Amino acid sequence: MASSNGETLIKLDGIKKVFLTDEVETHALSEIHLNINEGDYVAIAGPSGCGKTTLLSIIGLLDTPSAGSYTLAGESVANLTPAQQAYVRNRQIGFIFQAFNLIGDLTVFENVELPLTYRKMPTAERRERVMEALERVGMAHRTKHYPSQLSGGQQQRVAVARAIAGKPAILLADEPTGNLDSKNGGAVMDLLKELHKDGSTICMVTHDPRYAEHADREVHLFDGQVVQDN
Amino acid sequence: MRFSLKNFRYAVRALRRRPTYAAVAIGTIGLAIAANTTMFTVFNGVILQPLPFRDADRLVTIDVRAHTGFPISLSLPNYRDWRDKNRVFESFAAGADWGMTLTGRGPAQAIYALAAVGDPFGTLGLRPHLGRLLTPEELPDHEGAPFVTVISHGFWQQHFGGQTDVLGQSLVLDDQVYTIVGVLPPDVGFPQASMDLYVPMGTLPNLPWDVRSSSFGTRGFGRLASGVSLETAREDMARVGQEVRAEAGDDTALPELRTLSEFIVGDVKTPLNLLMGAVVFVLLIAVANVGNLMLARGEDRYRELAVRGALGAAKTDVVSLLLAEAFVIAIMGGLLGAGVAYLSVEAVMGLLPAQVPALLLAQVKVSWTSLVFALGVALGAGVLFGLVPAFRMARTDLVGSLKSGARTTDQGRERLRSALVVGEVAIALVLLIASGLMLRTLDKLRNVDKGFNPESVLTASVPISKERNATREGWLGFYSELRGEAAVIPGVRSAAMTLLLPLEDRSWEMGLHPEGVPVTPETTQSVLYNVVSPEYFETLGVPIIRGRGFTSSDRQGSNLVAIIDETMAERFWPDAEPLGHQITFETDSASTPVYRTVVGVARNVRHYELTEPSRIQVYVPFEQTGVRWGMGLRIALRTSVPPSQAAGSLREVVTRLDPSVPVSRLQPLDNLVERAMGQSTSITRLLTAFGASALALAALGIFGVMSYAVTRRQREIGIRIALGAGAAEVIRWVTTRALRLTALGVMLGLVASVALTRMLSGLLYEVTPIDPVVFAIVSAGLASVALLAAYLPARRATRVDPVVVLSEEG
Repeated sequence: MASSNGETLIKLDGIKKVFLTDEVETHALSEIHLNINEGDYVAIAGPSGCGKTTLLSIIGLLDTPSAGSYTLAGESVANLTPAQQAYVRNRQIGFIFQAFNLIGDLTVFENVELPLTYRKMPTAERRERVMEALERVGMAHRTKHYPSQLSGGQQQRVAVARAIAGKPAILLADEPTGNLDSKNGGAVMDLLKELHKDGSTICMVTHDPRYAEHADREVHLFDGQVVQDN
Repeated sequence: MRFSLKNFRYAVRALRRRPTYAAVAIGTIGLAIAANTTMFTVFNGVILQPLPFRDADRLVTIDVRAHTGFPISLSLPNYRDWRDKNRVFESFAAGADWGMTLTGRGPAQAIYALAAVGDPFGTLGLRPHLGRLLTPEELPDHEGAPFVTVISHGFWQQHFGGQTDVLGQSLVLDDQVYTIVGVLPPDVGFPQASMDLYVPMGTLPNLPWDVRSSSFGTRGFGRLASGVSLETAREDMARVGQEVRAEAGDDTALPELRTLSEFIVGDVKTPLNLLMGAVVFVLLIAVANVGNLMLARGEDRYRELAVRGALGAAKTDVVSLLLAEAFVIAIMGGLLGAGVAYLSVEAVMGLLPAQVPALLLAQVKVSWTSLVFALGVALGAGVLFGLVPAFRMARTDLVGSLKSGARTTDQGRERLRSALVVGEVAIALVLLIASGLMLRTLDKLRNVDKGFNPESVLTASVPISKERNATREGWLGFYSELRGEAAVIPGVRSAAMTLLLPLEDRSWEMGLHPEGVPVTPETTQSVLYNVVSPEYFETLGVPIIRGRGFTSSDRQGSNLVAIIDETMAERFWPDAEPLGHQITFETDSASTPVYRTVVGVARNVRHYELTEPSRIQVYVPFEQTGVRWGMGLRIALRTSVPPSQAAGSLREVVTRLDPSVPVSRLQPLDNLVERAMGQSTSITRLLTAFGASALALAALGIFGVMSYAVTRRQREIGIRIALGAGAAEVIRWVTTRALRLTALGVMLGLVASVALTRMLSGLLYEVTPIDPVVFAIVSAGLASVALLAAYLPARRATRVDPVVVLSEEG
């Protein structure tokens, strides 16, 4: 287990995830114990199908574990209702997806603004946060563009801006370079590094060892178990 | 749930970015709302709106029931007694439709007047548009009334161009000079808004003012005193009827009350209810279709919704977002529907049964009520087609949907889409069966044995002047000459004069006694009485099945003869030869019955309605009648050319013989038959239009679901093709699935039809509401259309390239 720089933000104890399909049980995660502290930059690596994305989904409250306990910022998330989970996701977690997942009918500005609208934040403050995030990723000049008018690299930068606009406790990135060429992939990794340098806590899933090395700590999964954490 | 303006803005933008989807969804719901708004506008004007009279709920009409049980009109002595003895009416009036001839303003014209007595305008609560209305003093219940008239707004516009100096001007009606004292407001009148003018009954000559047993189409109506219920009024008038009967004799008729609204709206309620129901069905199909479209569009939005969920959107946020789009579609559809309704109401009014009174049609206008209705229906529809998909979409699997390249499979959503199509098919089947039953009814009506041949017969009304009608020589001479000249018009094969034409909504009834039966009121049988020239039977194609027709030797002074119909022969002489028997319906100047000998039996003629056998009809020769019929005779010409080609020549002949005789109601006899089928025809047309729309929507639904299924199952299809399935197997695989849905819909539709089509039974003729032929043909037809709708996606399925789809990520 890596050393902590700050308070424990995420604490997973004995997390298991079992998928039941017809009469077959698939153990996606087995006995995962993992702590992530504030300010950490953790890369979760491993081969395809090892349970990386399942683990990230549980950390991001998109999925629930079959067993084990999960504490986020000192609070257990075991008994949260779907609405409470949505509330926590909105305020504590920022997502960056492999496929960017920008909404095609919304402009760049509106995409970044989206999580803030669910907070019922005043318009002026919302606008300030959105512009700040877009400036941070160098996309402030494209506010009125639609995602389809941007390159893949630009789209991912906008996705990063959307993730950081709400100033979440942790950024969860699922293969953030997976759909990008090496040049744009490198640029996104540089951006994440900068965010981390400025104090963001990042948990990134990747199967590419080159990108895993960007993190301060690498957690390797194999067949749903942590086989290495350094 | 929170609806933000932003959601609506996004919804509008999303629709603009998907113009085909938006057009189909808005167009589908818009056209269904248009049909509903149009029918509602008609329904509102005809059924829901109060009549255009003050406190219309207090107005009643007084029907008259003869002692024989038949409905008759109001005699003037009964009018006086009922008016004076009742304790429930605030005011009372009566009027008779009266055909008059207008001369002195160009060619002679036939016009329609109401000959009134009492206080009709006060009773109805009408106010003049110009001048004043006729007062009770000007409308006495005896001869000697002033020659004044109130004209309708339409007549004023048509004949005086809306000039305000019309007051005080004269009109020559039936050779009498009437002074115009007032003009009615537009679109009102009684009993029809189309009535030309109103004259005092006391200005008409030779009316049976004091003959209790004689009436001439007069109808009574009154305004109930405040607080008097219809039930109380009925009881009081029953008392009055019995009192008068006790004084005047047992053969005195009795009054029966009904509301004026019931009298005017009459039979049109059932067809309008039916058509309203039909458009609601069309709306339901449209809602199911748009719901299906929204579910399909939702498939494309899984990832978006999952992203929103990942970013913190609660389910209510997602539902409100999806509902916003549904509402935008609904509101735009509502506006489109209201617009189309505005443009189409007039056309639909033209398709309505002719039985819908003009007075009520005048109330049919697209108003704010129509717009509110359209938007109300739109919002209701929006909730229906938006809510279920919205809640289903809100259950998005976040993890699955966010995976790169993932297509979420949701059996529940697919089942819902299939269920919607099954529902559409079922509803469409009900509508199509209803229109099928009406089409079959129409076919039966067309082929019913009418007892006459309406093809190639031209008819017209040719009333002569009062002066010419004053003598037997005058009217008989004119008509003999007219018939003779008309018979030699090129293209005319025969010409006849007649008092009555079948299906013209006009009759003359007389009390008949066969020989051996004492001539007393108790033994009287009311029969249809027709006066005809000898050529009548040939001209109208009425076969004489026994004995002979009339000849030129059946004239004044010769043996009095009559021709009866089959019904009378069977009823009066069931086991005997009717020819040679005696009948009477007339008396001579000494009140002694005058007997006629039956010389022929004619085929039964459907006189009142096509759907019901006529009452007994007795024919009397033109030249053997003492009554001067000259003001109401019709001429009929059988032609070897299209009847309309003889119309001009007939007019010329009439004008040459007497320019003061107006030629009106000039029409082929076929028109009367068509008019008699009018209600069935218009209901069939509208139901067929709604049924066709339903079929098209259901086909679109099947097409959509099958297209979607093919897209979703490309991989499965690819595997099948890779394993050796040919085009025929693939097409069969897709169409079988469509047919399974259709079969389920047809079964549900058949069950619903059995339950619902019985509401049509009053409109059907010789067709049962569960006619197996219609049920079978419509079901097969619908299945064929479903097959066709599924064929296009099936064809597309055969073009799936297994190499491409199997190499894609699964």
